Amino acid sequence: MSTLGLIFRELRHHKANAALVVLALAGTVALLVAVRILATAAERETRRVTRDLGFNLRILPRDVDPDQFLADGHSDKTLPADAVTRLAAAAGTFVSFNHLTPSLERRIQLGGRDAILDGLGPSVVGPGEKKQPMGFNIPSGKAYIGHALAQRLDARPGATIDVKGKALAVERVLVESGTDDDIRLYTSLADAQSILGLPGRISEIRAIDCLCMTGEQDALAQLRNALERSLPEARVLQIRAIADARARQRQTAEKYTAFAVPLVLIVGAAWVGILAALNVRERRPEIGLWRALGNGSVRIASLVLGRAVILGVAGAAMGYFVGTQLALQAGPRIFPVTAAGIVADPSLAWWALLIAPGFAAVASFLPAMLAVAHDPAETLRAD
Amino acid sequence: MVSCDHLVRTFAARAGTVAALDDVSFRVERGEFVAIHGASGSGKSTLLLTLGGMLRPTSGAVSIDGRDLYSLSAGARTRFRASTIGFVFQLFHLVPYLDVRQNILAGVPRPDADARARVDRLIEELGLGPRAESLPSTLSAGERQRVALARALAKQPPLILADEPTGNLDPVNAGVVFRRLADYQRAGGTVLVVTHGNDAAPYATRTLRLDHGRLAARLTTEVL
Repeated sequence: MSTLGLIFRELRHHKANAALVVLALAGTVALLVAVRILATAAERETRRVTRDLGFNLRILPRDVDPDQFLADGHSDKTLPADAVTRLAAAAGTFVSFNHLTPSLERRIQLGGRDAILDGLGPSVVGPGEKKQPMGFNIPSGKAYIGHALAQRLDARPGATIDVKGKALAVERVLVESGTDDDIRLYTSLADAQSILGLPGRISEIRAIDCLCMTGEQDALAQLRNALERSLPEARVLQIRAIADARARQRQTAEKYTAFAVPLVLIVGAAWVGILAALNVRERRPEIGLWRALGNGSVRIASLVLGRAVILGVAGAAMGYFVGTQLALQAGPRIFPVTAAGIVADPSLAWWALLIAPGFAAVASFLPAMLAVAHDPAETLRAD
Repeated sequence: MVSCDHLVRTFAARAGTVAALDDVSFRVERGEFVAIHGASGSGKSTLLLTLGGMLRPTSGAVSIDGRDLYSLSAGARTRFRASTIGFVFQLFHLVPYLDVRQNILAGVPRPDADARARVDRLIEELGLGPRAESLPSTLSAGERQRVALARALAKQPPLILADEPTGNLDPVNAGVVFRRLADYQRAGGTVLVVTHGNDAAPYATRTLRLDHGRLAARLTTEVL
């Protein structure tokens, strides 16, 4: 009888052990699939949540006066507006930066007091990425108005306000933020350039860093090097608190995965290995008999390892299904902001079917060697 | 056919080293039916496993058909055993998840159509026809031993080694087993049986006695 035929008959005979091995493998695969789907969801949620913290990089004209910038909150120098397209076109830019958003910002007088005019151009994301643009995408002739400024001007959505002779329709009144955003007037970049008489100019490019640094790596130095190559007339300023929060959040998620995956693998392997050892122990007389009948080590090892591989396939299929359901049920409750993005990942099924049988075979390797080394004389002697 | 020279096999025990076989030498010629008689613990099973290439002697040599068994590599010894020796054990040692026919076929290294036909004949000869599709757990002790005997005979080995083949059987079933072994011997096969009783003696051409690991005397069936 073929080895495969023997394995299937043995599995039918030792149903309880086989079921427990499948359960162990299915549990391991299910946890890994769930962890993988949820880790992706966590990464997406982290990205989204940290993105909502705002831009953490400000790319400024190189000749900006730091004192003036820090005192006023914006640069009084400008860059040509095509700086953003040049930066986007430079090789390797999107390794370090993303969501490149040109801006022209100036302090103006509105309603007899200070306000900040902030003209925003469209965000540029990495090639092939389908990311939602950060910040606002404001049509020409429209304005988003900060909470305090709206109260000062008594402006409501639909109202028209006059900004240095240019009429703008109020599209949105922003919620109170407790920051200088409350006196900010957002317009399209073109409108801001027109109002300020600075056509074709921007005061900065806002961006997010793409670097997932460990605590020891100097992200800012890498960003500066990257900018030096692609846009030498600019300098980059990192808003440290936001950058650190992003990095910490991402590193926490990675640490969690790095802890959970080996733990699941070790527990799963131990479980499968113990069950395989119990199976081999129970089958010692049979193994002794196969030896006596002239079966070599390869056949004996094949009976144990082949069994593990077959159960691995069953465990992978079951584990993928269970793990996916687990992630789809629990995921939206854990990651509510990006719940819609949590979906089954069929590629994990192929990975599971590829890896779980190998994993089961590795976990059963020691019991297989015990079977090969089993002395038939121990179980076959009568006296 | 079988030659063993000065076989010694010792085991470590709490009280020190125990010699299960102590300078055992004898020869079995082709076509003989040799019964080795001895009490429990006399070293019978150790002798049989040593002759079967499954238990390396501490010293001494075993030759079968002129080949020194323990000078062969493990793989070569396994192949030699598969082609040359049929085993019958006291505890039957049937594969619990294979039915009667499959258990018998398991003894044949390459089961071709001839082997399958031979297995079917053995099943009928040994009265196992109605149980051919049954699992060992549903068989009586006598039926199990007949399956084990059929398994040993199925590959038509030149030598059959039987370890207490009737130890768990009633006299009727014991007679069936020994008669079949005697038939095999008369057809040219060589049989070596170890047993604690003397029930093999009427079928044996020669009987030896093993006592505390030593061959004590050569007995004839007439003496027994």
